[in-house]
Amino acid sequence: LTADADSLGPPGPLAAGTPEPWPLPRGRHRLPFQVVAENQRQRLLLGIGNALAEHGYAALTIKHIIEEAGVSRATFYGNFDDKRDCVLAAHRDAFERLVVVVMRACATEREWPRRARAALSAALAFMDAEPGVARLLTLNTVAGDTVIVREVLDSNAHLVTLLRDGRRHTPFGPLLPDLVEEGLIGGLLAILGARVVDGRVESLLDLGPELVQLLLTPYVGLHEAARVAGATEQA
Amino acid sequence: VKSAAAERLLETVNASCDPAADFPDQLHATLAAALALLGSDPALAHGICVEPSTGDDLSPRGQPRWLTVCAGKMRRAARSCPGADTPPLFLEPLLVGGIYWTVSEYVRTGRGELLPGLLPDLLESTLAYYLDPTEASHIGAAVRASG
Repeated sequence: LTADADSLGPPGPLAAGTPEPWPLPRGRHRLPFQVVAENQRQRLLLGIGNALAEHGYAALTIKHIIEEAGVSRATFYGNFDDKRDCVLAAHRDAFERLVVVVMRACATEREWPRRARAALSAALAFMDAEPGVARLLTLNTVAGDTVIVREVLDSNAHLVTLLRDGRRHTPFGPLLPDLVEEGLIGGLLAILGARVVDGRVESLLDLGPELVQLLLTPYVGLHEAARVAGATEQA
Repeated sequence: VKSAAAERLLETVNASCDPAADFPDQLHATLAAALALLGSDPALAHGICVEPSTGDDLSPRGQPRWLTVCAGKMRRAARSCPGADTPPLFLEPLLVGGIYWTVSEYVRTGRGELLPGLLPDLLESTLAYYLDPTEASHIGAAVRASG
């Protein structure tokens, strides 16, 4: 949570905050091929989160994916080798966009607790705005595929590393046991995943102040965490 | 809880936990029993952490209910703690979810046999929300020292 947003390089194919791809016009149109192809790829990347939430990874079929995205089977295979390839690409894209959102939010604050608050609030707003992405980032349904497991674990490890930086900037940080950040990231993802599976993505923003308080408590103590989290509501 | 694996885990931790004991002791016993069982039974650990089958309560749709059940148990057990008079609503879901994800990561990456060694850190991290952080640290250190 200290990196400069400008040092992150370009975001994923669909920049953070970009609205979901619009439906292509029916029948004949004069849109360039590249525009159509990119639109279809983005629909696949964004639609797979919903398909995963509905079916889980093991039962997920290409038919589920293309129906969700509204593209043909040929279009799917023009973009991806198989469902694993598609899930990996979608997760990577979603995670890259999440990190950009988080780091940009961090760059707006100087003190670490406020950086963490800004980061979590921005992440919730990002997932709130894009339910398909939220489902993709929080689902724990792909565990049977070792390649995807590695991808998800690497992503989570990146978040753990970002959060662990708080140890250097907070009073209780140096005293914390090793697994605090793994537990916090895992716990947050579990709570958000439960909301998402329940179809309550739209209420993710409501969780902000309390989750900020819980995230900060190990580092700054209960009262300071509550104070910083409370400032979220006033901001 | 419909999952046979989850039922076995819950039976084991329930049998290990004295409901009359104070919360730190209950949590210690519960975590120790769960980590020992999952660390010694790779098939069970795999069934709970890696490949929950569709329809189980550990499946994508069942997991929130399972999380809620375990979080509710922890919340009731923690009532006796001085700092637990008005705990945040999502405290226990965060803690239970965090423990589950941490354990799952070990199992998924083939390090299941190391799970019992996570007891001091998981215990201390969890108790830090209910006790004075120094007291939680002392409890974690005592468990580490006891091996």
